[in-house]
Amino acid sequence: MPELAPSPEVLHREAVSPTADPETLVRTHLRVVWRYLRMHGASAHEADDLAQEAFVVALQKGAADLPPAATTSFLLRTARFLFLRLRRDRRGAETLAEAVDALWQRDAADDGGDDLVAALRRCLQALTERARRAVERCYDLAEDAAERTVVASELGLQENGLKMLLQRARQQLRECIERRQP
Amino acid sequence: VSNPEPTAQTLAQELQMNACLAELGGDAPAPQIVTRILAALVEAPPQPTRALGLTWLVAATVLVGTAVVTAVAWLRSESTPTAVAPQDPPPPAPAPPPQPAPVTTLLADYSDNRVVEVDAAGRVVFAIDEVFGIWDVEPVGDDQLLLTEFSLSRVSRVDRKGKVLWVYEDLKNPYDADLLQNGNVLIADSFAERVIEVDPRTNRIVWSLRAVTERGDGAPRTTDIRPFDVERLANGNTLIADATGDRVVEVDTTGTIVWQAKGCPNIHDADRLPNGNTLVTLRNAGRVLELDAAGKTVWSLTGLSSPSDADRLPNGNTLVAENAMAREFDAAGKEVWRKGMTWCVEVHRR
Repeated sequence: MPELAPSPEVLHREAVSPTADPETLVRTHLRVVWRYLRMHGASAHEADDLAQEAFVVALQKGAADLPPAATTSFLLRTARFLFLRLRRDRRGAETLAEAVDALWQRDAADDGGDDLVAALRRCLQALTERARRAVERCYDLAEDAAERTVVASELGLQENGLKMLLQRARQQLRECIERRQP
Repeated sequence: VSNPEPTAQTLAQELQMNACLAELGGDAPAPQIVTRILAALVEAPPQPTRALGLTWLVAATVLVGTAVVTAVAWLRSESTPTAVAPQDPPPPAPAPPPQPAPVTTLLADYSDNRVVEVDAAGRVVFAIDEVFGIWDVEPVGDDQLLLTEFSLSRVSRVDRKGKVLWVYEDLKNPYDADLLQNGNVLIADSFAERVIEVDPRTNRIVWSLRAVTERGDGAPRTTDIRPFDVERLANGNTLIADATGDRVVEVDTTGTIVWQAKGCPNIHDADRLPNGNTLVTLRNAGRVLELDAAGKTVWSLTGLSSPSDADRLPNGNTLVAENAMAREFDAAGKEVWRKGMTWCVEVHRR
């Protein structure tokens, strides 16, 4: 299983930080912890609650005294533990979590996923106009987001046709963001 | 043609894509979450005890049961005429025959931040939670444990109720710690790139090593180390799994290499066996190798899932901490025992 922590080299580069106050620590790491939980499949509401719990545990345990990379690792492990506890009855939850962690380690561990999101933004622009608009409207990226039936109708497609268009677009996006990997 | 069941990897990619797309659409933590966290921190209740203590519950039950049986036997003896004067205490009950200690296995789960002890059937008989980034656990006698918490950069000695008896924290993400016979603690302070021996009575470092020296025909060559595992040998030398050098080295007290085996990429564990060979665990390669004094592989397990620890048992079998499980293999490499885990990194048979 891949490790959630940044690479040893990154960890090694980190200097021990002075003790951060709780608010600074939360503001520094919140986006990454929340994003990590969302990538595990937590709803936005669940991610809020689990991130809150993870930060409380981490701060109680003195995470503010850790080097920044170790703080991130600590928070993500705690968040993972809490998320799996929430999903403990779901078949295959741990296997899926491992696969998510593998992707996280590959794509997001070093910068918390900022580059991945930025890459996706760029890759969207590389889609055909029709595919890009379909993605933007169906995934709430645009102000004129709408139900799929509406989007399909306006594009002159059956619902299955829209589904295929979105599947192809997602595949192209996947290939595009993976090409940025070394 | 039916669609195949999506793999975990495919599902993970879908989740990643969904999360990223949602974020491009403005998905973000609730604005008030920082305030909520700070408020919750103020109101946070005291931390729960770390130990589940099932073993203690069982032990207490046995003790109570023994007391009841003894009391009944004593009462019966009181009602039976004997040559013993009434004011004399009852004769002591004969000592029960010694029972072999039950075989249990200690496991550290890095992902679940948990240490568990399981019986031969895999049932959890004891657990300690909230050991963050636990990477090593060693039993100390019957009732204490030495814990190495990678994420907290901490080595601690705790009793089975989770009470911390000793702690050392001047570390940087350690992977391994052993209690030595002299009472000191030997620590692989992995990301500080040093091995240290700490006297727990003073918390002072009494020996440390940041580099090892190779003496050959030419000039001595000194290189830094990154120890992932360390053990003190009976001859006083120290065996180090050195991740920087992809090797296992035996050094004397001056740090001079007296034996080494190279070509061990991503080595996570090294144990000197009673026969003089060395058991090494190569995490990325998924292999456990037994190397002889010449560094030649004389036995191996392959196809393992990210192993990080392996122990040779007295029965000749080998116990391995793998990714999602711990497994025991016989000498022929046949699996003879397994315990599923989330992310098992250390295993120890008691």
